[in-house]
Order: sequence, then C-alpha cells, then structure tokens
Amino acid sequence: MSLLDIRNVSKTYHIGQTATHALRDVSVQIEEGEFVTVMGASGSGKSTFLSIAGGLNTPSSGEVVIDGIEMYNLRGDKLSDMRREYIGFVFQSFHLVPYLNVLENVMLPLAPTGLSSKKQTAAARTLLAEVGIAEKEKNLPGELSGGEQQRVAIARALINDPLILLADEPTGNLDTVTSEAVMNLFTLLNGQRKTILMVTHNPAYRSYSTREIEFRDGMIVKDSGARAFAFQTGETVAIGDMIGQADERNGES
Amino acid sequence: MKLYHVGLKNLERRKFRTALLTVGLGIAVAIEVALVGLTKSLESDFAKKLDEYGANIVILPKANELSLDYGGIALSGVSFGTNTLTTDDAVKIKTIKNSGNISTIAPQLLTEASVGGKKVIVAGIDFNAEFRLKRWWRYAGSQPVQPNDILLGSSVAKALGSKPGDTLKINSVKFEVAAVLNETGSQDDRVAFISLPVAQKIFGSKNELSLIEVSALCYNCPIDEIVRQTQDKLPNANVSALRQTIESRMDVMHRLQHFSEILSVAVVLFAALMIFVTMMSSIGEREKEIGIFRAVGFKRKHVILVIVVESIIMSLGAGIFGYATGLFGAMAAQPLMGIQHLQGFGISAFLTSLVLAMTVGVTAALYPAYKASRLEPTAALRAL
Repeated sequence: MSLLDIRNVSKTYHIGQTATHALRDVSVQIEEGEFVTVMGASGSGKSTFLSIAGGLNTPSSGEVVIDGIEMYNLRGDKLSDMRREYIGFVFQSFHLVPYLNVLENVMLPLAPTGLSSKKQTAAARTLLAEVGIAEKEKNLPGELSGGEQQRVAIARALINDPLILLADEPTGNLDTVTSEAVMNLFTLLNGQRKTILMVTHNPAYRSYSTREIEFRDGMIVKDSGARAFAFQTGETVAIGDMIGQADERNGES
Repeated sequence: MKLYHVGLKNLERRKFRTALLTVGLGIAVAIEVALVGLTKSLESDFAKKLDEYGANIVILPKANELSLDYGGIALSGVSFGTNTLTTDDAVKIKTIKNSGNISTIAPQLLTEASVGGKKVIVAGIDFNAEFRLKRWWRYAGSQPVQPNDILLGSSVAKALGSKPGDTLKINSVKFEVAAVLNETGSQDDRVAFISLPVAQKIFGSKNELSLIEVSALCYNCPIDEIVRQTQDKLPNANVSALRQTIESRMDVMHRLQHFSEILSVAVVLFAALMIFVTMMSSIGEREKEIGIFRAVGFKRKHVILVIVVESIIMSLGAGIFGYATGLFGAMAAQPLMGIQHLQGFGISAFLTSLVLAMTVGVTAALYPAYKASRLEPTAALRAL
C-alpha cells in the first residue's frame, strides 16, 4: 500500500462563467521514504496538486488516500485531525504567525492537543536546536531573516512527526546559499525516512530528490519513478550545523 | 501552549485595536451603568419628593351620613356621626409596622362657621404638616405661627374683603389674618384655616378630627399593606388609598425608567454593532493567519475558540472599565442632577456590567468567528 495514493484527481475552479481546469485526472502513488520534486511552469497545477494532497483543497473529483484513509471522505473536523497528525506543511512565504514568538510558532500545531505545555515546549526546543535556531526562541518572526523564518517553519512542520512533509516552493524567498542549506535539510530528513513532496521551479533541486514529477496543463507529463535515496538512515550530520554553515556563508546570524 | 494563549497573544500584539474595542464597549457599559444608577437614584429621590407632594391616603370616620364635601372627597359629618376620629388616632398611625414609609400626617377638623357674618368652611389644621403636604401653596403675608393666626383661602378672603393683618372673629374669638392663599383652583380657596387645637377648643370638639390626610412614601412600597395596617389600628375609620394619585406617580416613575432603559439598549446595541463591524474587518485582515491555523490542524471550533477567547478577554476588560467609568461618571453627575443618594452601584451592578459586556462582546464576535472558521485554508493562504 502506498503512503500517498492520488487517484484520478481533477480540480476545476469556476470564476464567473469561466471554468479553469487546474488538474485533469491526475493519478500518482508516493511511497514511504520518497523525496519527490514536483516541477512545472506557473499555472501547470503543481501547487493545486500539493494543496489537494495535503487536505487543504477539496478536489472536484477523484480520491486522495493517505496511509489507507480516504481524506476527503472524512466528515467534519476529522480532516483537520488528519492534517495535524499526518501532514507537515512548509510554505514559500513561511506563513508564521506574526504575534507568536519562534517557540510558540513551532508549538502552534500542538495547541489544540491535550499535550502538556511542558512536553510541547520540550519538543519544540528539541526541533529548534535541530534546525539551529534555539537561541532565537523568544524572537518574533519579524525579527528573523528569511532563512531563519524558514527554519522555524520547518520545525513547526515537524513538531507532530508527520508521515509526509509537503513543501511549496520552500526556497522561493531565500537566497541561493540558504536555499541550498534548506535543501540539504530536506535531504537529511528524507534520509531519516521522512517522505517529502516538494514543489519547486528550480531544476537544480532535482538532484536532491529521489523522484521527479512534472506537470503541464494540469496533467503529469513526466514521472521519473523512484531512484535510490540520497541519504541512508543513520546519517549523523546535524541539521542545524548544515543550515548554520549556510547562514554563515550568507552573512546571516 | 493552549488555544487561549493564541488569542491572548493576538490581543497583546494588536494593542491599539484591543484598547479601542475595549474602550468602545466599556463606554457603552459605562453609559448603561451610569444611566441605570442615576435613574434609580433619581427615581428614588423624585419618588420621595412626589410622595411628599400631597396626600395619597385619606382617613375618614366610619359613618353613614355624608354631609360635607372637601375636594371631591365626601366627608361624613364629624359633628353628627356616631364614629369619630381623634387626635390619638393620628398618633396611632405612627405605630404601624410600615411607619417608616409615612412621611406626613395632616389631621383636620372641618366645620361650618360664621366668619365676618358669612358662612364658610373652617378647617382646624396642623399648619406645619399642611404646608409640608401642600407644597404648591403660595400666599401673601406670612406663614401662621401664633395660635390665633388665620389663613384664608382666596375666595374666602375675597368674600370677606380681608387681607393679611386684618382681624376676624369666629365664635367671638378674634383671629388675625396671617396670610391669604393665592388661588389654587381647589377647595382650599373656599376654606379658612386655623390652628387645630384652637378649632377643637372653639367648636367644642375636644380632640375630634374630621379626617386625616397621610402622605406615604410609596414608590415601590406596599400601599395596600400600609392601608391595611392603618385600618387595623383604626377600626372606627375608613382608610383608603388615593389610587389615581399613586398610579400617576408610578406612571411618571415608570416612564423615567423606560426612557433610561431604551437609551441604554440603544447605546449597547451601538457598541455591539461597532464590535461586530470591527471583528468582521479583523477577520478579513486575519485571513492568512486563520489559513495557517487550519493548515496546521486547527478545527473550526478551535478557530472559533481563539476568536471568542479574545472577545471574552476584551469584554471582561470592558466590563470592569465600564463599571468604574460609569460609577465615576455618575458621581460627577450627581451634584449636577441634584441627587442626594447614589443607588444601584453595588456588587450586583458590577456583576451586571461584566455579564452585559460579555454578552454583547461575545455575541458580536460569534458570527465573525463562525465566518472565520468557514474559511478554506487555501483561500485564506492564497499562496497555495
């Protein structure tokens, strides 16, 4: 059974009398541990594909099955539970809550859970240490550089230990050096068997992934299939060291 | 971190907006608190004054024969009836259980007499009590103080051609006209008033009375109960409440109360509208943030909870601020409005302020919160 099974998914947006077919009968299976880059020109449907895969956008037709559960058949708030427990999101614009500090932003997905504040704080601090930003836990997002904000966003995405990490242009607002560090971080996470689905415009990032899918006009026009994992389980390089080195090269603190 | 932390942090960050909403709602609560308190105080003061203004209970001797008419009140002929009222009866009224509600007791002895060769009604009265009861009396001359002073109604003075300083004889007793009443349009115009003890003496009525007028402070007091208690003390008398007087006073009071209630409701509704509009525009501003909440797994009820928590905190602040401001406002207005005792600012008013602020604040926030919870994460985040 695939971790993520997308079956005959279509999505049509209606704006006035105009219907825009963002996705047309897309089917794809993602296995556990894969690092998939999703590529394509603007408007090709890749972001719609990601949002549907992540339970954020109901498809017009088709099914999305994660870990054997058909997401869009879930009633009421079960879909919210599924998003919180199975999926971590990383956005191009980071999407941090501006009035929460770094630590609180990372803990945000845990707020609706019954987990004690002590355990939430401990889990968030561990992740902040792993992404190398522990010393800024009291800072507000507005006081951080782009790279630092993306690190916080990645820590937040990981706080629930999701089965799958969805990233929409995570390097889109970052400089080359920081972007490279973020990509190395994803590779490292993938090495720890974290499944990653990443939308990107940059063909250079293909090399970090184990599989590439390309969209055009709402359809998958290319699927490279699975390659060997870039990192093996047990990789010992610290995530924070990798990004920290990138920041140093980039002159950020 | 708990959900309420998220709401608290948002309020902390948007200090100006939070302060504006809190002060806005607080002012509405303050107006409501001040209006209710001032109206209550005013009503109480006003009622007290109204109750002192004329009698609202009349006590007559039980008798079958009706021989005199006094201002539309049929008087039994005290001189001829079998039952009589006495000065002791007037004293007994002060011993009823609700004696605290009794403001003035004005006993009268009414009889016909020849004054200056003309027949007029002569009333023996307690001048102090009568002047307290009939605050509308205006007169030329000076208030009678001497036992042989006489106060003439305007028609009597006209008929007798008397003016203050003149002397008159009643049953051979000489009286000096202390004052002449300005025309009242009532039976008082046709009466000559002398001191009660003197009247009882010259008419040989010992300590008899024709009627007793009582002014009871009856705003929210049990008038029927006072009548019953008085009746029990005076079995030989007919005690009756002047319902028309009482009801018209209550009507005035209730109108005042309704006016203040309508004004309060209008102000509170305006505040609710202000909060509603601000909350709605705030939801628009917070779309992205709500999208983030939904994307990281917040349920709809969690989004509602965050927004409602914010409004609860603001409302509590508004309730406290509103009560304090209302109290200070009322204290400032008290001398201007001539209110003697402020009422309605106890713990129950404080709790009412909190409940009012919470009800208005939370109700106004519920629809915006519901609307926010219905936002699709992708629409809210836009980037996706």
